[in-house]
Amino acid sequence: MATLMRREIPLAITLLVGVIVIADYFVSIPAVNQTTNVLTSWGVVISGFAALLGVINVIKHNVGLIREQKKDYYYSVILLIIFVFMTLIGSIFTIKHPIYDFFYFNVFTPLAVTVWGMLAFWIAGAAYRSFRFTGIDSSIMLTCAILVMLRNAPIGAAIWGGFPPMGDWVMSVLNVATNRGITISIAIGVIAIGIRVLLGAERGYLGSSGGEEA
Amino acid sequence: MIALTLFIEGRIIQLVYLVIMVVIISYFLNTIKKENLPKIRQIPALDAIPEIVGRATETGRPVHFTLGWTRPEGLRGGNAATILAGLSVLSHLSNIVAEMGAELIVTLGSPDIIPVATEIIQDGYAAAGYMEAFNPDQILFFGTEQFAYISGVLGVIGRENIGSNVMVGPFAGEALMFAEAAAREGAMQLAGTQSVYQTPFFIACCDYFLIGEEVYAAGAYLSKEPRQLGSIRGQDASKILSLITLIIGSLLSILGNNFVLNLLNM
Repeated sequence: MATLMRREIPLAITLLVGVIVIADYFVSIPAVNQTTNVLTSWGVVISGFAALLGVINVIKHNVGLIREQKKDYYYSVILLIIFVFMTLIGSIFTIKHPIYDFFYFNVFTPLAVTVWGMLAFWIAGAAYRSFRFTGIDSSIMLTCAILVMLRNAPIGAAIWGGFPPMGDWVMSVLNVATNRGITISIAIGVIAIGIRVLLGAERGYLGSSGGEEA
Repeated sequence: MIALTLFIEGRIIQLVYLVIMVVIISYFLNTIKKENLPKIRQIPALDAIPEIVGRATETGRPVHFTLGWTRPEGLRGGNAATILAGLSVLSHLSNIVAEMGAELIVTLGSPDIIPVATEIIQDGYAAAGYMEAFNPDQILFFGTEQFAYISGVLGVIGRENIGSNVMVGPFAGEALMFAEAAAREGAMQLAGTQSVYQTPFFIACCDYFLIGEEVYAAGAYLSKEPRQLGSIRGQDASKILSLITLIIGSLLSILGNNFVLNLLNM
């Protein structure tokens, strides 16, 4: 009975819901479309409850850091203060209010863009470490990277007019061909894992109840 | 004819192909048994998981695992397959971490994955016989906003001085940031994503990497279950079918015949 509840029934629900949602993509039957809409809305409701789990996790983790006075625990103090502040602002004034928008777009967005801006330095560090003539693979990668950089930077065309076409060839022939090959195999892999889940072969998400094969 | 009008135009051949794939994979799922396991080529990245965990254990530093920015919709969204693939790696990883006595830190970007990941890690520890070592505080959630998640994970990588870093899932711009930050900590890294734009960053920064479909085959490869290994054989058969369609269609198009092209657009 326990196995039925913890394995067979969840697998049956997975198969049923999966087939309905997949069918919605291919058929124009009102009953299927409406059922999919209902199932999707249930998913949103469940996510709402899951958001509460996330909030508890964040608070618990940061309170723990403060209590144990771990390294840089003052960042956790700031986080919790801002968390309470924004929650109060959003609750009192709603998230569409100009006050909420002010803090979101004038505090959070600039911080997010700052992190994005650091990406250039991460790329430089990774390139410095990895672009070396240490073997055939890395040499090919370095050569292609140099060609593409000379294609993109105006100085490449200024040095020699042949660099942009070579860079274009690398991007439009080599790169596109490889990407398409990988993309096709990824698409098939996605379908395969979906079929495994729907047919009950992939049961890791069920935990201990689904792990053992019948 | 009435039945045909029920199908959305432009998606009929996609449905036919999907049905063919289901038939092929089901066939191999049900016919592959322990006695006739298919030969799967070695995937060094997955074989290296014990080595990666061992490195962290020797240095006394934790193992870090993350799924990438799974978007606010998490398992409900378009990246669900990649998230499931990452969770299957986490299942195997948590078992090995428990056996070797290392510390595991898991960082997440979607709250709906928290209970799933908790259950998976708990089972990994229980299967290894070290249930008492499991600590729910090792699973950290940093918010659904991409840069809140990025900041949180970068903080963990630096603050906890991780010894090994495993990243398998749907990554976006954070791929290079995490890989580079962990590389600066001297961590041994394994990474895999479905994004063709982030894969080069992983290849440049990580010791081991999974490319493309290897991410989706990871669960089957690590479990060694006959049915799951059979599905990899089915996956390969489907790929051969796609290649045949591609080659025939390309040749016909070159010759001026768009039959295959028009068929695929039905």
